[in-house]
Parts: sequence; C-alpha cells; structure tokens
Amino acid sequence: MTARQHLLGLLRQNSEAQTSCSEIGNVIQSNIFDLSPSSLSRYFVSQATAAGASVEIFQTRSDLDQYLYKMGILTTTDKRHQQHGDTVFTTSEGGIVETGSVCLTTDTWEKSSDFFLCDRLIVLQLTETLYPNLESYWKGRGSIPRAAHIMTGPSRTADVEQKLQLGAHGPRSLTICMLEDKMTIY
Amino acid sequence: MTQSFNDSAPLALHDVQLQEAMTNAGQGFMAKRAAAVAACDNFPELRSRAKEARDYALNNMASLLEQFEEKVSANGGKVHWAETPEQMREIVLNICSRRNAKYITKGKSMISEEVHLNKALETAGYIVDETDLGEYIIQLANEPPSHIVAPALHKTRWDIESLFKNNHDLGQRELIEVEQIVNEARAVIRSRFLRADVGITGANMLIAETGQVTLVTNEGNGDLTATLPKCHIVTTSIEKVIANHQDANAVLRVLGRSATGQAMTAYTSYFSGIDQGTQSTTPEEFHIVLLDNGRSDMLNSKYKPMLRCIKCAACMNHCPVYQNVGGHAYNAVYPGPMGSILSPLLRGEQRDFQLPVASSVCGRCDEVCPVEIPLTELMRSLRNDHRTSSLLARTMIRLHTYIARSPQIYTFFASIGVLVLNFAGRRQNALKNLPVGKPWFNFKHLSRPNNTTFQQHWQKRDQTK
Repeated sequence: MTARQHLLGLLRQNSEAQTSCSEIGNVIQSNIFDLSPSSLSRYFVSQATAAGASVEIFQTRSDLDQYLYKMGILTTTDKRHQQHGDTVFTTSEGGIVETGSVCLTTDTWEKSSDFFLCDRLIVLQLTETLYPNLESYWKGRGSIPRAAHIMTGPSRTADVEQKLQLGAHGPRSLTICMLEDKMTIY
Repeated sequence: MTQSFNDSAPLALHDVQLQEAMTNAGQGFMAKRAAAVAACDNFPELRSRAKEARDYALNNMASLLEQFEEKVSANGGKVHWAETPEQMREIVLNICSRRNAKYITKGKSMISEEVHLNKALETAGYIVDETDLGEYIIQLANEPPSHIVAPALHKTRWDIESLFKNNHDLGQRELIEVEQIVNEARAVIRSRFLRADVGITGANMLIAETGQVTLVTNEGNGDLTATLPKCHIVTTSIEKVIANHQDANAVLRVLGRSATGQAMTAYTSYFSGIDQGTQSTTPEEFHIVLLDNGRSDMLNSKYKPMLRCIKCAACMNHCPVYQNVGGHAYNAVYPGPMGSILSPLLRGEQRDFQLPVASSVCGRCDEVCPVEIPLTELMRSLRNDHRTSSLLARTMIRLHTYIARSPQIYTFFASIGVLVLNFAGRRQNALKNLPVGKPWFNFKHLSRPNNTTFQQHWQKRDQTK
C-alpha cells in the first residue's frame, strides 16, 4: 500500500459530510457593494494609500503616457508591460477595493519574477476593473492563471527588532496609476 | 535542542541579551493586532466564519485532498504524499537529484523545519540559501527559529550587525540602522535568487476547488523563490487544505490581522501548476509534498481543533510565558501555546510534556486565536493525559481539591493560613521565602496578609453597604 492510499484511508475514517461553508456565505464588508463607482474608487485609493502604495489619478490616456514618460517608461510599444532599468510598468487585472490591492498574473509575456525583482513597480489600474472584494474578483475571473499575486503596498519586513522597513526583497515602492479613460486599449 | 523546558527557561530568564531582544521587540505584535481588530467592526464574526471554514476542511479532508490533487495534476503539477519526516526528506532529495540541482533557495516553511529538511539537503551536498530575512539571519547564526512568523525575534540589531560583518565580505561599512541591514540583505540574497535551480516554499493554504497553493508574505522572497527557479517544491501538511476561494478568503481576513496587524499582507500569491502551453515564463516542474507526521491521529482525537491552526502566532505574541523566556526555551519547532500542544502530539518526546504545564492558563491565547482553538482546554487535557508530577505534588493537588470543594473546610484552613503567613511576614511586611514554591520566590514576594481572609473581608464589605 502506498503512503497516499494509507493516508487517505486513515483520513476517510474521520469524514463528516456537512453543509459546505460556501453555502453559509462569507462575513464581508457589505457596505462596499452599496458604494457608487466614484466612491469605490475613492475607497480603493484610501485603502491602497494606507497600505503604503502611492496613487496617481489620470483622466485620460495621454495624461498617463506623459507621466510614464517622465518615469522613464516608453509606452510606444508594448503598453501592458514594460521594463526600464529598475522600474517595471504593468497592468493590473483587477483592483480589490476592500484592501486597496492590485492583482497581477503571469501571462505569456510577463514573468511573475519581473513584478518582484524591480525596485519600483508602477501598476495601471482601470477604474472599470475594480472589484469590491477578493470573492468577486475570483468569481468574475473564471479561469485560473499559473500565478496570481495580490499586491497590497510595497515589500516590507519587520524582522530586525520588529522595526518596519520597506523594500525587503520585492519592490521598494508601489505606484498605482488609476485611469478613468474607458477607451484605453491597454 | 536536547534540553527540556524546565532546564532552559531559568537560563532564558537570566539571558541578558535575550531579554534585551524581547524588550526591543516589545509589545509590537500585540499593539498591531489590537489596532487591526479595533479598525474592524465585525472581527468576532470573522473569527467564527474562519473557524467554520477550517472545521469544514478538517471534516472533509480526504475528499478535499483528492480534489486538490486532481486539480494540481490537471494543471501540470504533482502531489506527493509523505507519512513521516523521513519520507518527505526522501521525496525532496529525489526531486533535487533528478533536476541535477546545486543551489536551492528557500522561503519560510515551518514544515521544512519540522522534518529538518535543510540538514538533509546540506548533507547531500546542496547549497541551501534561506531567503526570508529572519530565516537568513538564524541560518548565519546556525540556530533554529524562535518564532513562527519572526524567526529572529531573539536577535538584536547588534547581533545581526555582527553576523553580517562576519559572513559578508563587504569591507568597512556602517551597519547599525535597520535600513542598512535590510539593504545589505537585499543585495546579498538577490544573487542567490537568480542562481537557484530549485525553490522550496511552504504554503498557507491549499485550495481544493482550484488546485492553487496560497502563500501569504510581506517580503517578496517567497514569490521570488517560487517563480525564478525552474523547479518549485512546496513543503506543506495535510491540514492546510481548504475547500474553495470563499473559505480561503474567510481565513485571509483573520490571518493578517492576527499575525501582523495587517488587513492584507503585501503579497498574497496563488500558484497553480505550470503553463503547459509555452513554459517560457513559468517553472518547468511544480511539486507539492504533503506531510502527515501524526496529524491524521490528531484528526481522530479530542485534539482535532488544534488542526484548525493557521500559524498566525497570535497565541505566542500574547503569552506571558513566551514573552519572558522566548521561543528557544521550548526546544521545539513550534513554541508558545500552539507549540505546547503540537510538540507533544507530533514529536511526543518525554520533555515535550513539560510544555503544556508551562502555562499560567491566563486564557489570553484562547481570546486571540482567530479560529477559536480552545488552547488552554487542550493543554489541560494533555496535562491530565500525561501526568508527570511527583507523588507529593499529586497528593497535594488531591488534598487541595478536597478542601476547595467544601466552603466550610476551605474557610477554616484559609483562616489558619492567614494567621501563619501574617506572623511569618511580620518583620519585612512581606514573605520572601517559604518552604514550598521556592522557584516562584526567586522572582516574586508575597504580600503580607492583614489577618483577614478574602471571604471575611468580602462579608464585611457587604455589611457596610
């Protein structure tokens, strides 16, 4: 008998069929679902800022392009994901309003490690892809990526005398560029 | 780690360096958790919901693990099953050998500590680089972790400065500010991430519905360990399985708040397998090694609630015993209240049964546990099941029980006791020594009673109202 068979046999002795917890429903911050789109954005910004991210808000794509150009990011080619020196610019798949987080996933042209090796991470977050909470993000997403990273603020550690220090191994800073232009092709 | 708690604890109390480190760490964890809970208007409901999610997983563990394995396999990964630490070590060594690995990076994994994986890998000739800052520090010091979230809690910045200067050949430099220490660690460990052939991480949760491994971190080292090498191995245990994202989110809402006072840690990552299409951006191999090591026995016992544990460390952060002696005094992988239950059950050495006795049963751990594990009740059960006290101690306890069950007898003996103690403490107005309880008097004095028992004082107070 393999370890797998033996272990599963032991575990089956303790099976107790019961109502799935997902039928009970999660305890969530229900007032988030009552917020208007503009209030959702404001709440997201406040949560993201509280977590240590900086947030820049742009009305149009050209405003955003100008900002990125100043940051050394060239947006003439691949607009979704670019690297320039120690800065990576990428696009969030979804923003989580409850916690001020952005969701980055591995794609065919993006490596997860790019999100973590850079010093400065700039993330484009469209207001139309804000989700109230993680439950609604995963429900809306459907398929499962190889890797998904829910990022809330920059990298940090408190392993030295419990003193908080930003920039442990991941990006020292996280800048979220909120774009309200629904016509963006990013 | 062969000493017992009873031998180590007095040494820890007199360890000036340790006490300085514990003081420097301060009440940080407690204050952060308190602030996070205060900012949340429904934390008791969140706790109950997380408890339900964990209980569902424990009650359906076999079917959920099978579902998890099926999903991982469909995503191109592989699940391995290990009943013992030896089996887990063998599985990991075989994978590393097949990959012709030389360099291995590690994210924090308490399971890897439990099975002594690093030692096995190093003995086999692999170069193992811990990447979590705290784990890296204790690796340099050749010590085990003293806390499950902050492994180097027992180290001061001067300890760390000394370790870095002795191990990093970087010439003369200032290294006393926290920022300087962290920057140096970032620079040194960066090259190790990039050269790794295999990356080994732990897992906070295994989501059965989707076959995803969840990793909850702050530094980013776990993600670099999981994504840079061509082979990613997850060392985890069977009770980490959770049914679906709904239940996983219920746990996430209490985990960060309880551990570090964060509604969400910097990185909550989900890994599901390999991209079978291009394989250009992902590891080529994804392995999950599941460990039992006695957990299936716990599942079938009154200690089952202990398996709800989500390893937040809130219990030890609030434990007055842990705060005074630190983690190494426990001489076990898991310290504090949760370790006082897990160590006897998983390792089962004779010295482990001193741990559930090393508690004042103040109940703080029960109050802060985010999944409502009845920690003090489980410690009491272990005490009852494995009595190690002397015949004299057991006789005294039985005598006290008999006396305490009768109010009249108790009041009689208390009156005599008060008179005796009052007489004994008359010179210094306090009692600094008694024939019994000698270790207690090494650190405390007993106030001289004022000739009345508590009951007499209470009755008088009632009458004057």
